[in-house]
Amino acid sequence: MSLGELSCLRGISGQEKEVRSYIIREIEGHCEDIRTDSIGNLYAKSGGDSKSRIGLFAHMDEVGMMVTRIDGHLLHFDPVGGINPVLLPGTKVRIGENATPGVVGCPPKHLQKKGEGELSIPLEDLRIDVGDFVEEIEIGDMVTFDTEYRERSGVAKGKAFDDRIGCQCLIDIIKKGVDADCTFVFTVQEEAGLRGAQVASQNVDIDYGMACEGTFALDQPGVPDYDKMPMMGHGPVITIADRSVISSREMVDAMASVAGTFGIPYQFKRPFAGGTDAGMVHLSGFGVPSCVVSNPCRYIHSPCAMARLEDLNMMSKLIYESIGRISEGI
Amino acid sequence: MYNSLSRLVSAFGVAGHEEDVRKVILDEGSFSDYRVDKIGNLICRNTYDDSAPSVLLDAHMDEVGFIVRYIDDAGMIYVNAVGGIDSRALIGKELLIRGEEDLVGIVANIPPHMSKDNKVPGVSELQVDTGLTKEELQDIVRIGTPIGYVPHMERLGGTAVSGKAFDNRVGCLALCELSKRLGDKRNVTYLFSTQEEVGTRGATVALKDISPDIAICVDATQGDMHFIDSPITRSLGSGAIIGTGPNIDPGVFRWLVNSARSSGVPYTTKAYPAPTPTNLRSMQLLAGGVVSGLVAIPCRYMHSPSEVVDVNDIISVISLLERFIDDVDDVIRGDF
Repeated sequence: MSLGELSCLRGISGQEKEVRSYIIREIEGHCEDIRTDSIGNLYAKSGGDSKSRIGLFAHMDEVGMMVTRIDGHLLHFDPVGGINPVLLPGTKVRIGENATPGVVGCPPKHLQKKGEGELSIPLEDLRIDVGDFVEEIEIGDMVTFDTEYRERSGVAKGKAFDDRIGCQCLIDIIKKGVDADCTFVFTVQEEAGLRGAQVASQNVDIDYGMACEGTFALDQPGVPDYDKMPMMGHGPVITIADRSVISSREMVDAMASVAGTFGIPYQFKRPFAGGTDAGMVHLSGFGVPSCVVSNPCRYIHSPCAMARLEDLNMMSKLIYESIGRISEGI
Repeated sequence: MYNSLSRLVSAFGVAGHEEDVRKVILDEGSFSDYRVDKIGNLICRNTYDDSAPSVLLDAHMDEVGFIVRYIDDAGMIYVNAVGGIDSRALIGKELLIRGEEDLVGIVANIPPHMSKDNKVPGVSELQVDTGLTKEELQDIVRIGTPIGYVPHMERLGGTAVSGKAFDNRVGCLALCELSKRLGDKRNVTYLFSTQEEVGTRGATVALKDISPDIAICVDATQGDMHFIDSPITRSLGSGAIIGTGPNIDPGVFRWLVNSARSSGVPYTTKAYPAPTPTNLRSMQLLAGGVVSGLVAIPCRYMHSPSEVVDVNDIISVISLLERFIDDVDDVIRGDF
C-alpha cells in the first residue's frame, strides 16, 4: 500500500507535477498510451475490447493555499479549494517547490481580550510565519499541510486523502490488469471547480464514466444522527446524487448487485453533498452515464484525514468487479 | 545547538509527566551531581567552592497539554487542558496520547458545509479521534492519561525555529549550555522544575531546601506578533529580555543590564508591574525570601502546537548569564 507515499506528495490545484510524475512511474509498463494534455491531466489505456468503454477518474490535486503577498517573515495567503479557516491557526505547512517550512500563527491565550477565544480568527487576519525573510519564496507558491502519514490497527492518518486515495485505487486496478476497454484519467484542478475533468472529458471516448474519490465520513460527534452517513469502516460509498451529478441509476444498481455477489459491504452517500469530476464527465459529448464511488474518510480538507484501510481494499474490489459487469453492457 | 534544542522539545513533558525531559537534560548538560526530588524537580550541580556566593538558575521542564477526562461509546476522547491553551489552535491538529503505548489522535472537526457559525468549542468540548473503538482503546488509554502536542522542530528562515514546547525548553537548553561553559568554576545550582504551567508548583517545593544568594529564572515570554500591538511583547532576534518590577530585585536587574552592556549582548528590558507569570513569583517569597532576577526569551504563538523562537536569543541569554555569573562576587558585594 503506497497511500503513504502518494498522500505525502505535494500538489494543490494547478501544481500537480509531483503527483503526476509519481503516478507515471507507478503505472509505466502496466498500461498503454500514457499521455498528458494541455492542462496537465494524465491518461492511460488498459485492457482489450469490450462491449462498452469505461472512463475512470481520480483527481491528483489537493486542497491547500497559495502565497499572495510577502511581508518580511509573514506571508499572506488564500485557500485553494474549500478549507475552513478554523483549521489553520497552529498548523505546520510547506511552501513552494523547495517545501520551505512555515507555521500559521495563533495569538496566545495570555494576551486575549475576554471572549476573543470563542470565535474563529478571520482568514484575513491569519499569516504564515517563516521566521525571517526567505529569498526563495515567491508570490503564487503553493502551500500544503505538513502532515506525516501514519498507520495503526488498520487506520490510516494523513493529508490529501481527497483524492490520493482515489489515485491509489486506480493505480492498484491498473497494476492488477483489467479485461475491459478502460481509460484511466488522473485529473487536475478538481478542487478549483472540476476544471481538469472538463478538459479531460472532451479528450476521451467512453460509454460510461466513474469518479473515484475520498469523501467525508460523517460518523463523528457534532453531527446529528440523521446526518451520520456515510460512516468510516462501513465499506465503499456509492453516490446516488450530489451537487454535480445525478448518478446513472443503471450503474448504481449494477454496483450494488456486484457488491452483493462478492459480499462487499457498501453504503450510500448523503444525497446532494459535495461535487466530483463525474459532474463534468456526465455532461460531456452527448451525455455519458456516470457515477461516483468513494472511500469514507473523516476530516478531509483538513490538515489530517483518517481512513480505514479495509474500506480502501473493499473499494478497489468493488470498482474492479464493477468494471467487468458494466463493460459487458448493463 | 539546533540538535540539542530539537531533542529537548521532542521530549514529552506535559506538567506532572516530565520524566522524558529529565533524561534529555542529563544527557545534554554537564553535571557532576544531580538529584530528583519528590515532585520530580531535577536539581543539578557541579563540584564547587561552597564559600562562594550561590546562584540558583531555574528553568521549568514542563509544557502545556491535556489530560483524558472521558471516553465515549464511539471511542472519542474528551480532555481537559493542562495549562493555558487556546482551543483555536487545536482544531484539526494531531495530538500525542501518552497511553500504555503512544497513540496519535486528531482533534475532530466538522466539515465546513455542516458548521453553522464561527464559534470555536472550548478545550473541554473537543473530541480526540484515534479511529479506534472504545474496546480497542481500553487497554491503552484511560481517564488521566496525559496528551501532548506531536513533537516536531523545523528550522525556518534565518535563525528562527518552529516547534512545540519552546516554552520552556529554550530555558532548559540555556541552562544545559551554561553548565558546560561554567563547569565547576562557580557555585551554581541548576533547577529544572516541574509543573510551572499549573502554578509554579515544582519551584515551590524546590525552594524548601535550596537557599541561594541569588535566584535567576530563565523562561520564554511573549514575542512580537502581527495579531497584537502590545508594549509587553519583544521582537524575535532582539536578544535577552531582562525583567524589572516588584518581583525582581532592583540590584540584580541593574547588574544583569550591566552584564549585557559590558559583554555586548543584545538585550531589551521588560516591565512587570505585577508578579511575573513565571516561577519567580513563588521563588522570591520562599527560603526566607530570595534575591531574584528574570531573563526571558521572546516566543511567538506561545502554548500553541507551533511556537516560533530565534536561536540567537537563546545564545544571547547564555552569554549574558555567563557574564553575570562571572561577576557574581561583585554583585553580592555590591550595594544592591
